[in-house]
Amino acid sequence: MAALSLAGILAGAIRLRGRGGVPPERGGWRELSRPRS
Amino acid sequence: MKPTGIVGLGAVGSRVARQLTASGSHLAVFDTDHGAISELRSSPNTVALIDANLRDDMTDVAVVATPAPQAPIALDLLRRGVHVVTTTDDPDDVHELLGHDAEIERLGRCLVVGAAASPGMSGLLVAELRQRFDEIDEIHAAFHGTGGPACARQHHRALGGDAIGWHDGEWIERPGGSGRELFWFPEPIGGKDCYRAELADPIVLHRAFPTVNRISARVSATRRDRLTARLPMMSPPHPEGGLGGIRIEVRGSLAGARVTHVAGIAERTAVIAGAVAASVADQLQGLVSNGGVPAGVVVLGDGRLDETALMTAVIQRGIEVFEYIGAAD
Repeated sequence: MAALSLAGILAGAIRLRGRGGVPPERGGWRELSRPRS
Repeated sequence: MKPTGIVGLGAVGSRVARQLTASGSHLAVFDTDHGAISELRSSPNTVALIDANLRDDMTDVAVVATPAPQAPIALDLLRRGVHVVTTTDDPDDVHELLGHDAEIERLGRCLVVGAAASPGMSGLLVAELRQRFDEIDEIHAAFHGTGGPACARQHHRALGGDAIGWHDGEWIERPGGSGRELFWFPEPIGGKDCYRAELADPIVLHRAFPTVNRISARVSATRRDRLTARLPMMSPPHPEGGLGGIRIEVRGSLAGARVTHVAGIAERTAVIAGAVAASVADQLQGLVSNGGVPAGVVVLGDGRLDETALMTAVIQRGIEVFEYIGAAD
């Protein structure tokens, strides 16, 4: 039981770990340019 | 012209109704909830029905905006001669609807599958970006937020399910909640960690763009979302959902060079879904008058509807669409 609990806690920690990605350093959003119809 | 039918007046259905009445359309709406229907009953353009079937002689085109499964309602309407627009985002529901293509074509009716935010708007964005390439080979979709309560429950289930993706000519399955990537959505959403989930978008996008080699879809999630994904929902979902986002990245080639284009939207998910479904229903109504409704199953992006006109209509209904400029291609 203890081993199963430990395995569950470790699996949860692995699943939730990490520090995220890196934000883009340049560029930005602007209104979509569309071809004239 | 007969009124446009709407079945279900939840977060999405009521937005479709508002969008269509704002553009002068006549409606026949059906819901079992007296409260949801009372607001529309006062509109001179609306026939409101409670606890009764939407009859086939009332309408040529109906939008089904109920919680999943939408397939039984949609198929019943199609067999009674009505063209149907569905807003489902449930993968099983989408599979079921796509499987009836031959029957619907034989009936000479049109079924639009997944005309909402995701799927739906995602296909329109890919179709819009597609024009900038000679060929496209990768589509990566990411979503943030949910529409109404049914959409929020679907989002919760999706993180605990098996995520499918199209990878070099075959379907792959990965656990929901894996594969974290940081995606940048239009402001004010900004950066969100997104994860694989059991979403309908890869199925619909593969149907629309069958030659694309890789298709993936992710949703934003917090640590708590991922930790509780396989448990019942801890708190009841918000009735209207919050600000949602769509980010579509398309990769391909132009004049022999590798090119990437990214488009996105930041808006309430139900508002996006309402604008897309209303625009599709409006276009189908126009095609009914001209006798040019495509027969069989249609998904947005497959080119069987006028997608340039649909994108224009969605923008005119107040949805701001952005593109990301300045990143390395």
